[in-house]
Order: sequence, then C-alpha cells, then structure tokens
Amino acid sequence: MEPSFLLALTTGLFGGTHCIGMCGPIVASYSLEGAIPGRPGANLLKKILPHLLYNLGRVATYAFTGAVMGLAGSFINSISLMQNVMAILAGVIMIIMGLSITGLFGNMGWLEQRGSLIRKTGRELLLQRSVWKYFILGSLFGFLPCGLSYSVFTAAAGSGSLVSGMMLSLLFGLGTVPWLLLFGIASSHISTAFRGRVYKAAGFIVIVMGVLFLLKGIRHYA
Amino acid sequence: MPECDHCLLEVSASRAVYDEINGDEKVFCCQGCRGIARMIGEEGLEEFYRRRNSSWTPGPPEDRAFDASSFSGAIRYGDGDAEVDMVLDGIRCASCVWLTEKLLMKTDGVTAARVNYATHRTSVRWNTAVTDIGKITGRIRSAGYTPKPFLANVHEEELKSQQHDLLIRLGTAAFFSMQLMMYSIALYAGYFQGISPGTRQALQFISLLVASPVLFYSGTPFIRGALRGLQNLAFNMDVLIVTGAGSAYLYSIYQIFLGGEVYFDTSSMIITLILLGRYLETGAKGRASEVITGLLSLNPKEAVVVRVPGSGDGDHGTYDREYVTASVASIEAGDLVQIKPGERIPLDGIVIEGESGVDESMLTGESRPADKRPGAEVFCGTQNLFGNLVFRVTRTGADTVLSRIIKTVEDAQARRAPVQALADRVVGYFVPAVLLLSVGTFMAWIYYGRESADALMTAVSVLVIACPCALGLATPLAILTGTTRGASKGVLIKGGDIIETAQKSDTVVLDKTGTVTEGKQKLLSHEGIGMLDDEALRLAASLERLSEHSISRAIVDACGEMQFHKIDGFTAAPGGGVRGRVGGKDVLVGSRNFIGAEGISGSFDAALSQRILSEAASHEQAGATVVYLSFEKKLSGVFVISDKVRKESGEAVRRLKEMNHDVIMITGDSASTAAAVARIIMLDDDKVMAQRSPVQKAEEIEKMQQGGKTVFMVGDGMNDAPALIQADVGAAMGRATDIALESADIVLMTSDLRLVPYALGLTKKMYAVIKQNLFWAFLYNIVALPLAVTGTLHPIVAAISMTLSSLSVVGNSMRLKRV
Repeated sequence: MEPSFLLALTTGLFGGTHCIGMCGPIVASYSLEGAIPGRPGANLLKKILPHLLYNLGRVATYAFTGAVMGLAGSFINSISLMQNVMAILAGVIMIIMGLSITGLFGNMGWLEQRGSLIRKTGRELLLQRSVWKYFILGSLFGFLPCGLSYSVFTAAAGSGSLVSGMMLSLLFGLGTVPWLLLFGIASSHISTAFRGRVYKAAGFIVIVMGVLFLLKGIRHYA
Repeated sequence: MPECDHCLLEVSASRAVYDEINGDEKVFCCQGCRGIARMIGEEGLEEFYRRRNSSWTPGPPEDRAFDASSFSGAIRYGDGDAEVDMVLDGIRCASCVWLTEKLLMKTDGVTAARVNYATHRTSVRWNTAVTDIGKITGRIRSAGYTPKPFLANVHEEELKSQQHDLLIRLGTAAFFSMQLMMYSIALYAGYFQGISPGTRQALQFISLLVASPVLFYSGTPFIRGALRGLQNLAFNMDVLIVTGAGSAYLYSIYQIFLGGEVYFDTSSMIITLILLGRYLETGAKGRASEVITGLLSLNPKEAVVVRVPGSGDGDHGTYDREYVTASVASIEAGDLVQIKPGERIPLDGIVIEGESGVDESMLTGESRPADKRPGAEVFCGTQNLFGNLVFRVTRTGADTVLSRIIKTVEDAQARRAPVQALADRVVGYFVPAVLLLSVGTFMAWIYYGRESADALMTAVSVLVIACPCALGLATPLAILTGTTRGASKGVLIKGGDIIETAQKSDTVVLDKTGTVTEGKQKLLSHEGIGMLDDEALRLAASLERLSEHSISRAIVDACGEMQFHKIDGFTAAPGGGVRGRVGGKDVLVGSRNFIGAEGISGSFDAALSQRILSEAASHEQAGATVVYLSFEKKLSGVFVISDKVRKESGEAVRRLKEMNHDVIMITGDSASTAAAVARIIMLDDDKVMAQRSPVQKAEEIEKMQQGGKTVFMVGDGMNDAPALIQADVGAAMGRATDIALESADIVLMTSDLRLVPYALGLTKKMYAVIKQNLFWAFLYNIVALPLAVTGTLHPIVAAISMTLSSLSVVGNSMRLKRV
C-alpha cells in the first residue's frame, strides 16, 4: 500500500479522539429512544444501529469528497505545465494546517465555527422517522468543516487521481470509526487531556504527510 | 429611571420590584417579569438575555385569556407518545423562540420541541407516561407566552407532509445517485483502461454503501407498496419497480465477490427517476387541491363570544355584556357570537341582533350581498360587510355547511370510477404478464448465448418499461383536477362514477318550480278598486296572514312594515279563498269563482272595468294567478301573483339544446302555468309534462329510461327526491342544503340554471381527458416493450421514458383546470 494511504489511516486513528468531542454527542443525544434501558424495544441492535449508520454515512461522504478532490486534482495535473503542482500546493497547505492542529502555530477555530447551516439541516432531518436518517445525517455531517478532515481532502486533491483521492479519505474515515463507535466507553474512561495529546499527534502525522507530498512534488522538478 | 432587567421597560425606582437571582441584584417592573426571570435563572437559560436583539419590544408579558379545554381536539396520540401543534402569543424575537424551545426540551417527558419564528407555530412531542398537555402549556405560560391550539386541516397537513417526505427521499436518492454516477464512471473507465482488482473492489464496495440508502430509504414507499400488493395477491406497479431495482442491486452484490461488473447505478437511477415522477404527481395533486385549501382558509380561528350573565335569550342588557375572544374550536351550539364589519363568520347560526349584508359568494356564487336581519341564517366562511351582527350558533365543526361541502369534494375524489376499476384490473393482469415476459427474455438471451449480465439488464429493462405507473394515474388525476375545478365554479360532483354516466346523458329533465322558476310566489302588482292600492293590500294581507298558502304568503311578504288589521272569524275555503271580518265588516280574498260566488253582490264582470278584465286575462295567459279582494260585499282589489321564471333559464335551455340534449320540463303545476313558462324558456309544448306528483315524476323518468334514454334530472332536492333518485344522474340546485347533499349526485351551489350545461360540458371534457390519459399511458408501454425485449433499451432510458409518460398524463390533466 502506498505510504500516504497508511498515513491517512493513522491520521484517522489518532484524530478520531477529537471527533468524539465534536460529533459524538450529536448522535448520542438523538438516539435516546434506543438507549434508555428498560424502555420497551431498547436492545443492542437499536443502540448500535444509529451509530453504525451514522458512521457509514460519514465514511461515504469522506470517500466521495476525496474522490471529487482527487478528480479536481487530476484535472489540474493534466495541464502539463501544472504537473505535480498540486502535490506541492497540497503539501504546503497540509503543513500549515498540521501546525495549527498541533497547536504550534495558527488557529483552526474560524473554520470550525462555519458549520451552522449544516447543523440546522441536520436538525430538520432528524424529525424524520426512519432509522436511515442517521445515515443521511452522517453523510451530511461529513461535510462539516473540520481541520483534520479538510487536511486529508487537500491531500486527496494533491494525490492527483480520483481513485487515490477516494482511498485516502476513505481510509482516514475508517480510521476514525473505532473511536466513534466506542464513544461511550471512550469518553468515560479516557481523559480529556489524553485525548488532546493524541489529537496533537494526529497533527504531527498531517505535517509528515504534507512534507511527503511536498517532496514528491519537488522531486519531479529536481 | 432604571430599566426592568427582564423586559427592559423603564420603571420608577419606588415602584420597582427587587430580587436576587443567582447572586445578582435584579430590578423588575412587575411580578410577572420577576417570575419569568427567576425561572430563567433556575433553568440556567440566561443565554436568553444575551441573544435578545433590537426587535424586542419592552414590556411585561401580555395577559391573555388561556383556554385549556381548546387543546383537547388538537392533540394527536401515538404509540406511547403524543404530539400537538400550537401557536404562541407573545413571541417578540428570535430569543423567545430559543427560550421556548430550550424550556420545553428541559421539561421531563418532552421528546421533541420546535418553534418556527416566522409563524410562531410550535410542535411538541412528549411521552404520555411522564407528562401531559397541562404541564407543557403551564411551562410555556410560566415563560410569559400564551399557547393556543393550531388546528390546520388534516387534508392540507397530510398533503404537505407527504410532499415534504417525498422531497427528502427524492433529494437523498438524487444526492447518492450522483455520487454513484461518479464511481460508476470510474469503474467504466477502469473496465476499458484497466484497473487493479483491489481498487476496483474498493470502488464497488463504496458503490454498494451509497446505493443502499437509495434502495432501502428512498425506495421504502415502493417496497411497502409492493409488499402490500403481494399480501393481497395483487401485482401492482410497485412490484415491478422493486423487482427491477432490487434484482440489479442483488446481482451487483453477487458480482462483487465474483470480481465482475456492478450495476448499482441502474438500481439507484430507477428509484430516483420514478420517485421524481411521484413527486411531480403529488405536486399536481397539491395544486388541484388548492380549491379545498382555499375553502378551508375561510374558517376563522378566533371569534368574539358574547357572554350575557344570568339571562337566557330574549332581553340583553347591553351594558352587562362581556365580550370574550375565544378559539372557534371551543365555541358550542347555543353560544352567542358577535361579528363586526369586515370579519368572516366563523360558524353557522341565526342572527338575533343587528343588520348587515353578507357576501355569500364563496358558498353560493351569488355576487349580490344577502340581507341579514334577526331570524336570518348566516353561514361559516362568508364575509360580513357593513353592519354589526350578533348571532346564535346552530352548527359547529364538521356540521357547518362549509365543512360538509369540503367533505363532499374530498369524498368525491376518493370514489372510484368504473373506468378506473377497469384500469386497475388491467394492471392486475398486466404486471404478472410482464414478470413472465421478463423472465422469458432473460432465459431466451441466455439460450442464445449472451452473457448473463446482458441478459439480466435486458430483463430489468423489460420490467421497468412495462411499469404502468401512468395507468394508475390516468383516471384519478383527471377526476381530481376536474372536480376541484367544478367545485370552484359551484358544481359539486360527488364521484368519478357520476362523471361517466353524466357525460353519456342525452336527456335533461328540469323541474319547474324552484328550478326553472324562482319557486316563490311573488306579488307582481296590486290595485285597489274604490280604495287606495295599499289599503286594499293591507286588508288582503291581514286576512292572508292566517293562511299557509303560497299565494297568501306572497301577498303578506309584499307588505313589509305595514300594520295589519285585527281579524275575526277567519275561515279558509280550500282552493277558493279565505274570508274573515275586520271591524265587523266582511272581507274575502280568493279566486274569481270564489269572489264571484260569495264575495260580492251582483255579477262579477260588471264590477270590473274593461281594462282590468283584459289585463287579468293576459296575466293568466302568461301563467300568473289573479286573486280578488272583496270588502263589504264590494269588489275592492285585484292582485297578480306569479312565480317568476329565472332570467338565466332561457339561456340555459338554449345551451342545452345546442349541446344536442333533449330538454323536458316536468311539474306538479297546472298545464296552463306550465305552458306559459315553457313559452318563456322556448320549449315546445310536447316537451312539457304538467300535473305530475312526485311519484309520477319518477315514473315518467323511468319510461324515458325504458325507451333507452340516459336521464339527467335537475330539481331543488326537496320534493323531487324520488325523481332525482330514479334519474341516471340527479342534480340538486340551490344552496347546498343537507337534503341536496344527501340525495343528489351533483349539487349546483347557486340558483343559476346555466350551471347545468356547464356541468355537462365539464363531465364530457373530464371523460375525454381520462381516455386520452389512458391512451398515452398505454402507448408508451406498448411501443417500448418490444424495444426492451430486443435489448435496444437500457434500463436507465426505460426509467426516463416512464417518468415522461407520467409527466404527459399530469400535463394533460392540468388542462382541465382551464375548463
């Protein structure tokens, strides 16, 4: 497997801790019906299904966005003068974003506050009765502005092809899933401080990926 | 001066109320504000104050009357939970919305709460085991808002939520299909240019992930429809759609593990495109139902109830009265309601006070305002014009005339026409036939050596293209559009089956009294002989007041405000006249024979001038009745009474004849009167049947039917009941009274006879549209089927042409809106 794919997966594994903070409560609070013990109909499947569907939706959106970004990147690459410019550009952006994730430089806050329209649509969506609404909610929230995921999408564009772009973000998404599924356990047994540190580590991985892309792009010219 | 910390109203320091909340000193203008602020503090919702913006108007909470009982009808109960829609008074800005939502969500047992800022409409859902409407409204009121139940019409709500639901499913299907298209293109490219198996499988798995919600969520209406159909052993079109999309889906899953090609795009596009067709269909239904929605919007939600302490009806001391605004839902029969100029009347009732004109055009089509005085009936939905009225409520809720009209229209749209039943039966055979054809196609292709994937795709094409969606639409949509158009013009058709019979009719039978004529005897002229005209009238009316005859009533009605004489010794001679004594003097009113024999001394003709005699003769020729007055044994007055022919009747008859209908008039009246009327409306003598009793009228119609005619009968619904029932189609004219709505097939809401040719024309056009729709629906299928079998048609193209055929049926039906 390409090194960048592996890195994307690892980014997800580390970054997932952050995702718990943002997305976990949303799903948990809305799946109250299945989660209240003692209520008729509350069983394991009902408890897990919303989470499962939500994550599948999220992963689907990541894959899609990665594919689109990869496709866009491939268009730019196809212009012969711009070959591999994407990789360099993506690398630089990722280094910057990675730095802000690690807290060394810059601030992601401005980006992450922009999601109100998406959240509003999400609330409307939840008034539907079908259980599939969680899938759709997940695929909607996959678009939420998040420093980590946007970094990976940038990488997808930099990878210059639909397929690799899709694979990058797909693997990233899959990496975050274990944390979100175990969110209940995770939030009670793992301290916030620890989660913060793991998140910063993910930032470092993003920087590493960025450097990799940068080098790959420059090597073409060198 | 300090400002109230809650409502920002300025308040003098001496009158302010002080309190400490969460450790801070606060000042308030009143206890109301203080109470709310405390509650906000306790619940931790101080964000409310931060969110408030400039649109907040300072001031304490409004004190509005709260009626808890009005909620009872508005609550919808479900499985362990309940839901209610409310309108909140007192919302001043977006922070109020936020506060209410937060407060409700924090209430134990509430599972969902949403407030719409624009409409102040609130939806709350709660667990009935934990809380109830009393606690919930209590919470809202404690925050200073007054909740009132929101009673929208079920029909409108259902339609809107159906459309909303469909839109979300369509949107989801479209969104995911789009993603799927992208992956499919990548896979196609890979097929031609080479792609590593790992990547291909990854793409295929993603395709599976994204195609699943399309089939299982957006496709749920089809799956449910198919299961329902199969449960009843009926093959409907949902079966075809589900089989087509489902087999593509399942085959693709199978192929993933075999390393072959996948067809998720086929399955998703089928669902998406057909869902699009359904959505457009529902939109068409919604637009057609606008008339109903329009009728429903005529129901006011609030009215002013007049409370008179102590006394019953009769004398109302105006100064003791109490005027209370209440929701219409809480008003009962017997209550008194006040209507001001310009307001809409909320319920059916009888005027007990006041005088005004009321615009009843929405119920009767009459553009002239109806006079309303004490004793007159008023109807829900009509508009009061210039005067104040107080009326006693007689009918509420579903009993009002307006509600019954709406129900009739709604019911009519639900009734099946025979043509539709035929279409349904065809579909019942068609679908299994197509399934067999599809399987046969598949096997034939395999037999001829084609690849199983190709064979499957062809078989799926056959399934999809044969889908008779448009067939199921053809009749209902035409009926829907046509009946609502008719309703807006004053023609209520009670069902689709009636349309079929009506358009076939060749004979129109008109009842005379009340249909062709106004049905009321009116005094055309009065003349005194040897006394003033009005004096003669007064004498005659004083006597006729005691008689029930319609002629008598005509005389009395013409009197208006006159004072009547006191009558002694009143007796009536049936068929002849009436007699009595005024101040000891004999007074007689009656026919020529009666007066000539008993009313006067001397010969009759000698007592009358030539002019009067000839005038009387010509009046009688024209079908009027002439009665005479004798006073003190002298001929003292002449009265001409007639039942006027409606001015539109002549034109209506002309139009019917132009439409090649045989027009016949039937009546219980005398031959001469009938003949006179017939001449006015230009009907030949042989088309008139006079002196028929209600039962005889029905017999005449039966005779016509035995002669092979299809009879369309028009009457006023009351004494024509047997005939209306006997006729193939019975139409009742005039206001939509109970009797008419019950016994007639078609109700013409105004007294304009021209509605009859209009109604007949409408049914003919509706039937034509139905036939056209069925033709188009079938044509698409029949032409495309061979193309699909031979493999010329890709399933996606098949799905597109299906939507097109549905669209053409919708478009054709919309033409009826302009009839």
